[in-house]
Amino acid sequence: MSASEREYVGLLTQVMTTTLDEDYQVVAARRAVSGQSPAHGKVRIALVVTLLVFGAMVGISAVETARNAPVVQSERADLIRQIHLGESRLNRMHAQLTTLQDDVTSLQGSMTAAAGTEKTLTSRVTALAALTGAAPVTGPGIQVTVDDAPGASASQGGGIVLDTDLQTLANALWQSGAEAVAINGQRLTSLTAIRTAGRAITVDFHSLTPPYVVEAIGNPNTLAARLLETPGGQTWQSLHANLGMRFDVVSISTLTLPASNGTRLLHARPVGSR
Amino acid sequence: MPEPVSSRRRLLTGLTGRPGRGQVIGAVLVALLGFAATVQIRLTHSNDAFAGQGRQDLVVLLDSLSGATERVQQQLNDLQSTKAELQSASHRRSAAIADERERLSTLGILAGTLGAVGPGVTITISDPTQSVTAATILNGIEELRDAGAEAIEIDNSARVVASTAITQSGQTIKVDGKSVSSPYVIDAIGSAHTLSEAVVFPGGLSDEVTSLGGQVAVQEKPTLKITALHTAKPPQYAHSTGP
Repeated sequence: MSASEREYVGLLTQVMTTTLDEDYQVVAARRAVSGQSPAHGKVRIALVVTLLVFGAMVGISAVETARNAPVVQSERADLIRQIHLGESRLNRMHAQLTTLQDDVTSLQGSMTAAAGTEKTLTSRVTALAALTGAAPVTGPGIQVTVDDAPGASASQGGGIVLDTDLQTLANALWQSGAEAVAINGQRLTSLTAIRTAGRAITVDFHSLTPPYVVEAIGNPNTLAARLLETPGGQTWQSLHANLGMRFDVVSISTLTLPASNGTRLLHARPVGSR
Repeated sequence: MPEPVSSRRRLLTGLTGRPGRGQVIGAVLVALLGFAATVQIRLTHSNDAFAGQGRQDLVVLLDSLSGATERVQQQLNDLQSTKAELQSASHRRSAAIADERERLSTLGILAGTLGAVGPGVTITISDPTQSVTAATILNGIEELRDAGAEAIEIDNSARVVASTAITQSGQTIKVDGKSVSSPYVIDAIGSAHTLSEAVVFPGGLSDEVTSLGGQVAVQEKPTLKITALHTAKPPQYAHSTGP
């Protein structure tokens, strides 16, 4: 392609149809004519040196990496192992935490239930304890004081307060609606015996000395009147009238009767309890 | 000057023809480089989820892990002591409840609201002449109480409790208003031998009934059941002031 022709060809067409290669070809052809071989001499030496340097770099890098690898790698592996151990420990602890929380919740629940049970039981115990003489009680009532007739002696047989007389009085008080009774501070329970032992009357195995003060809690308006109507009350009125024995009945607005200290059972067990 | 070869032809020749020495060396070098790079990458990032994290990152992670562990351990300790406290409180409460139940059954027997079982005696009083009075029965009850009777019933129907009144209307003996009749059968729980001794003791119930023309039979029983119940009315005037 001559230079004159080139001038008429459009630039784009020229780019499409001719490449740079052709220029190289021209140079190569020119070199072949002048007897020079391609890339000989200096260029060849430069290529060899470049390859050697590249090879050395790859080799050194490989050796370096291989030598450093165990150290870096083992430290890293150790860290990772510790992290794994730590994570699984934390997971176990979280599981424990959940179990513990469940335990605590269920314990709290059963505590609440138990508190309710205890409250119910306590109120029932309190109610029964007042009735049975196991707890001290206070309330309105009467005080009945009885004693031997003045100058009476056991040998003469009359005018002395006998255990049966006190039994009769207590029985009459219960019949009159008394809710709690004590004789000389000894509370009567279903276990309490009023008995003569030797020369003294005993209540709950405590020896009493006259006068005998019998306190009874009950309806303050009716207790005294009803007592006098019972056979026991009438017995005592006649003991007073005929033998001169003391029989005083007074109303008391507030009486306090102690608890009996003997409310333990050795033989009887409950049957048919819930 | 040789004819210039078309560029297409030369490309085709380059792709299909025998590779030159330079090309072979180049190919080997590129393959080597690729291999080395791959080995290097695999050596460095061979492991797991922590790829891309440096040593420093891992140390920080380990630290935060041990911090979290410490906090959870603290929570565990707190919960453990809470649990221990709750457990001991629960044991105390259980013991208190057991005590209350025990007390309730004792009080139930004393109040006559519960049936009772235990050793005891059955006393049968025959009174053909109708000479036995309420006072005789009352005295007998007191004797039994003195001998340690813990639960008493008469004729399997009337429970005798603290507030029981034994009364009489005409010839009929009443226990808290309930009529009982001869032969009077008194069941008492307690030491069977002691109770039986008390009844036959000179001057005791047996002698008294015999002197009135009746008869007393005492039977000791290893197990006796008392089923008559007393209906406990809640007190209206006596208020509990203690435990």
